[in-house]
Formats: sequence, C-alpha cells, structure tokens
Amino acid sequence: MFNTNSNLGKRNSSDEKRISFLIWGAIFLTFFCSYELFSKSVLEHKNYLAMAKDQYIIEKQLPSSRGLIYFSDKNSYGGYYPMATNEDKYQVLVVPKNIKDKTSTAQQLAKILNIDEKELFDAINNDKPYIPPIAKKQSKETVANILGLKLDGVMIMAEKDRLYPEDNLASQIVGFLDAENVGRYGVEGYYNNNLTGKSGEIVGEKDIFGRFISEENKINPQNGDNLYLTIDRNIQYMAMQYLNKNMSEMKADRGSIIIVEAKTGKIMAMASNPDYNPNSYFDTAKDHPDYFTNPIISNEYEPGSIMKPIVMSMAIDSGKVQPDTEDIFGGSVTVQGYTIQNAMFRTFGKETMTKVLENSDNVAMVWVSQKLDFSEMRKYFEKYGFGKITDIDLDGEAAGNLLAIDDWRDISRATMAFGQGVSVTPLQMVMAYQAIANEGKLMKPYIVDKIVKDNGDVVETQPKQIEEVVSRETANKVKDMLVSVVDNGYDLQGKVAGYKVAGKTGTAQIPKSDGGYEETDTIHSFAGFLPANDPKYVVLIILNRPKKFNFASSTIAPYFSKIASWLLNYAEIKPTENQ
Amino acid sequence: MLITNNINQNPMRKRTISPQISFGPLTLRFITIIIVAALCILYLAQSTQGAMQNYKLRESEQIKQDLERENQRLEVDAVRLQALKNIDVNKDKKDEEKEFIETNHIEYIEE
Repeated sequence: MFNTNSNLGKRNSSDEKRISFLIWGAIFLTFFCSYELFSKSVLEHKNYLAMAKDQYIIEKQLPSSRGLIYFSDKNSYGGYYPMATNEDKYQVLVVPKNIKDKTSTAQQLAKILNIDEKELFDAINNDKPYIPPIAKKQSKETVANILGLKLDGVMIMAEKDRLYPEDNLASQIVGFLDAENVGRYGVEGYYNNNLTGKSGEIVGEKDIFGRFISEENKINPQNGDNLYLTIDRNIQYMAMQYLNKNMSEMKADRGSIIIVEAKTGKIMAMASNPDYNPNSYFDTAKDHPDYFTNPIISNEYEPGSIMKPIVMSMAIDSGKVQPDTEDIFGGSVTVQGYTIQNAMFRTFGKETMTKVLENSDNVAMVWVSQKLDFSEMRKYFEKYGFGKITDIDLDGEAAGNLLAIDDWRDISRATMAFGQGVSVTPLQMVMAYQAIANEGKLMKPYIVDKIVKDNGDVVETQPKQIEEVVSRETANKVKDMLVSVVDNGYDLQGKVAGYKVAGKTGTAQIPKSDGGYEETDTIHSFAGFLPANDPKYVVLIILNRPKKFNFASSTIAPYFSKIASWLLNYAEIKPTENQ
Repeated sequence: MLITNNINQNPMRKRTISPQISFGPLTLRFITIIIVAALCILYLAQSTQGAMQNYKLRESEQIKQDLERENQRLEVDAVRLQALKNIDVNKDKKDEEKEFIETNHIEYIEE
C-alpha cells in the first residue's frame, strides 16, 4: 500500500518552491528589463538617439565664396571688370598606407604634376595614414589625367583659389589672399571682414553610400560682399604703361603715378614700379616683401618745388601777396646761418609771384614764407591734410611728418616754402592739388565706389568734403598761376595741344639718415590738373633717382603731357584752345 | 388567370444563392488583414517613390551645381582672355611701336 498523501505533500511543497522561485525570477526579470528599458529609452535616450542619427544623418559644411573685387571699366559688360575673382582648383592628396606600388605611383604623379619624382617617392614611401597635399591649385585637366590613372591611395579635393586676372596691374591696390585665406595689404586687407563670407550647413538623411536622400535642415552660406572700386581699368593700364616707359627712358629706380577725380576725390589710378604679381605673391615674399606696400600711401618723402604753389596759396589766402605782387630777389638768401640758393645758382631779379612759380625761385619763396607766421603756416599745412592720414580705405597709410609748432624755426619755415623739411605721402600731395583744382575744397580720397552685399543691399560711397582749405578766389588765382607755369615757365614740355593744363615740377633732394642731403640723387615730381578751365583729373607723377636728366622739367613733364593728352581723349573732353 | 406549365408543385421559392451574407469573426479578420496589407503596400510604394524622388532631386541639384561650376570656370576663362595684358596687341612689338595706336584728328560733335 502506498502513502500517496505523503508523496503528494512533498511534491506540492517542491512545486510551490519552484513556482515561487519562477515567480520571483519573473518579477526580478521584469524589473530588470523595465529598468533597462527605462535606462536606455529615458536616461540614455540622447546617446542612443545620437548613435542612431549617426547611422543615417549626414552633416555637411557649405562653403561660402569670398567677395569679388571689380575695376570700373566703361568698355566692359556692365561697366565693371574683375580685379580679383575666385577659381575652382584642386588639391592632390595621397594616403601612403593605401598605395600598393609606390615607385610606379610616384613616377606617374611626378610626370603629370611636374614635380621631382625622388622627393615625391620619399614623401609617400611609408605607411602613414595622412601626409600634407602633394600638390595644390591644380587645374581640372591635370586632375582629370590623374583620376584617369585610377591609382590606389590617391585622392582629389576641390578648393577655391583667388585669381587676379590682370596680374601686376593694380597689385599694390588690391593686395592678395594669403595661404590661410586672410586678405593682406590693399583692399583685400582693409576690407577682409567684408570680403570673407560665412559658411552654411546642410543636415539630411543619407543612404548606405553616404549620399543625401533628403534635407532635414539647411543654413545657406553667406557669401562675402562684392567691392566695386573707383579705379578705372583703362586709366590704370595706360598710367602704368606710361610710368614704366618714363622710368625706363629716364633710368629711374622707382616710380609712382596717381590720378584723382578733381571734384570727388575718387582715385582713378594708382600705380608704382616695382610691383608684384598677386597670383604668385609667395615668390615676391622671399626676396622683396617691401613691394607689397603701396608707396603712394606708405612712403614719405620731401616733395620739393611742387610744394611752392601750396605755400603761395597760403600767402594769397591770408592776403599777404597777390599773383601780381612784385619784388626783387637775389640768387641766395641766408636764414639762421644757412644759405639757400636757387637751382643752378640762378638769379631772377624782379619778379611777380606768378613769375616766382614759373621760375621756381627758392629765394623768392623764402621771402613769401616769411610773410606768414609759424602758427599760420602750420595751420594751413594741417588744413591741406599734411601730417595726418587721409583715411583712405587702404591698408598701411602713413601720416607724413609735419614739425610740431614748438620745433619751428626760421630755417624750417624757409625750407618748407620750397618743399624740404616737411615729409608727405604722394597721396597727401596729390590731394593738396585736388583742393586747388576743386576751388579750395579738399575732398576725402576713396577707392571703393560701392559695396554690394550677398542679399543685394548696396552701400554707395558718397564724396565727402573734408575742409575748405583756401577760398575759391585764392584757388582760382593759384590755378591761373599754375597754367602760366606750364605755358611760360620751365615746365613747357607739360603742355597739351588744344587744352589749358595746370602744373608744377619739383626736383627734391633726398635726406640722408644721418642728417644732410644726398649729393647727386634726387626725386623728381610733376603735379598738375586738367583741363584747367574745368578740372576733371589731378595727376601726380614721381620718379626716384632718375639718371638721364637732372630736373623734372626734362624727365617727367613730357610724360605728364602724354598722359594728360590721353586722359582728355579718354574722357571725351573737347579742346578749348586753338591747336 | 394565368396558367403556367410549372411542374414543380412545391410552394417554396427556389434559391440559387444564400439569402444573406453573414460577417463572422473570420471574415472580419480576413478583411482586416487585406486592408492592412494594402495599406502596407501603399505605404511602401509611397515611401519608395518618395525616396526615388529625393534621389532624382539630389541628382538634379548635383547637375545644377556642376553646371554652375562649369559656368563659373568658363566665366573665369573669359575674364582671363579679356585681360588687357592679353588684348594689348602691340605688347610684343619693339619699344617704339609698343603703345596703343594714338587717336588723331578727333572731331567733336557740337551739342
């Protein structure tokens, strides 16, 4: 007989334990799963979301374009021509560890890229995952040839390159874009923030090949502002041509030319020699980094006799002399123990003030300056803008050097009367003549005519009068005197058939760093404006150390005439005089 | 009275189909599955078509970008060719002949 109850009791007790264990196990598992679920879906939600997004979301930077810079050019479509533009170029990259046949790869790439095969082999003969690009700024054709080879471990990456289509023309105005894509010198430097755009971004879903399927979010790139300069391409080109020819013929070391619109202060042309090609600025950086600076705004020099009409205007404006004021002048004058002589030791005797300018009489100019007291003369110099920057919108402008009032002596006043003992920049000098041409009103020089933003907004530069330096009557009197200088004085070769032009030459000594002046070398200048009856352009030409002739009346005046003639023709200004 | 030659004397009407359609749980399940399947197919078709349209759109945008890039390249080439250093036809001549030809005897029209 079996005691079934006892066995059943035992089995029931064991089952209960098992069931209880299973229940607790299930409860624990449920809690564990719930916790994990909560942890993954709530606490770690962000991480997993990011990981998931990484698998199907793609983010891509949308590069912006640097703003373009334009010349004015009435002959080009739209009236403008690019001074600086952007071009698509390509970098050639290699991953050494992925290259199977390094010798063959180096050989084939070196041939296409025209680089040294051994150097290239040395660069790629390793197992590095990255080395710097082996070639930059390659053309589409070159990279097409490389891609055609289907080489392992060779990649092509697009890049933007800055192109200056006219090479050296206006290089010291435009500046350049350096390797870090930062504008240096000139307009590129001054307006770097305007020209630099803001890159955008696109976020979307991608397929297994990494291609965009759909856009989720897109921020459009903001391109840099486009700058439209006042520089006229044709005037700039011809000014440079004439300057180069003038320098070559007169065997000068350096030269500069600047042409300004008389009524507005717009810079129409600004060229110097030597210059550089901004497309290959790195070549210049090695040997002649000084070529990057624009001598017209950065170099200070003692201008010599072209300062005489400015000092004469001070004396006329303050009522001390008139164009027909006469006196008798000797060949030399002594001031504070220093003897001042005329060029070639000439003596002119009885002269009117007009004749003083025609003869470029140093002694008479000392007499004129002595009619002005120190503070009066200095005040006029300041009004003309000497001793301070003109605030032109270009990088690297110098202020020149005008003696502090406490440092003025009789001898400094006397030498300043014929343009020595005062340092100016060529830009300051041409603007002083602009004031005389513009009835005494000094304008602010500017080089950017308008800025066009990416959204189409236009910011135009308005001509701005800085100062009425002298009265209209004084300016007109000096203007007539300068016409007489060209018609009757030493500067006869500056005449232009059919037109009245106003101008004055200057032959200035070069100060030495240890005091005194150089014995033989000089700086020649010609400043003038045309046509004199209604001035349109103001021109300043400077030659450093010309060797062929001793005076600017022979070295520059003939070229001033040629440039003036071309400008009058270009501006379609009808002749006013019988030819 | 109309007399017909009807041999069937049974008064009940003859039926060829069931007099009513009954919707039981099985039918409902069947219909639901069909509807869900149809909706799934429709959804898949739509989403596939959407994805294809996106691909086409991306391709068109890529073509547009390529054309714009090519247009820019041609514009840059044109600019380069129009540079004064390239169009000054006298630049390779001797020094004395190097200038642009001067304009003489200009006649201005009276206003």
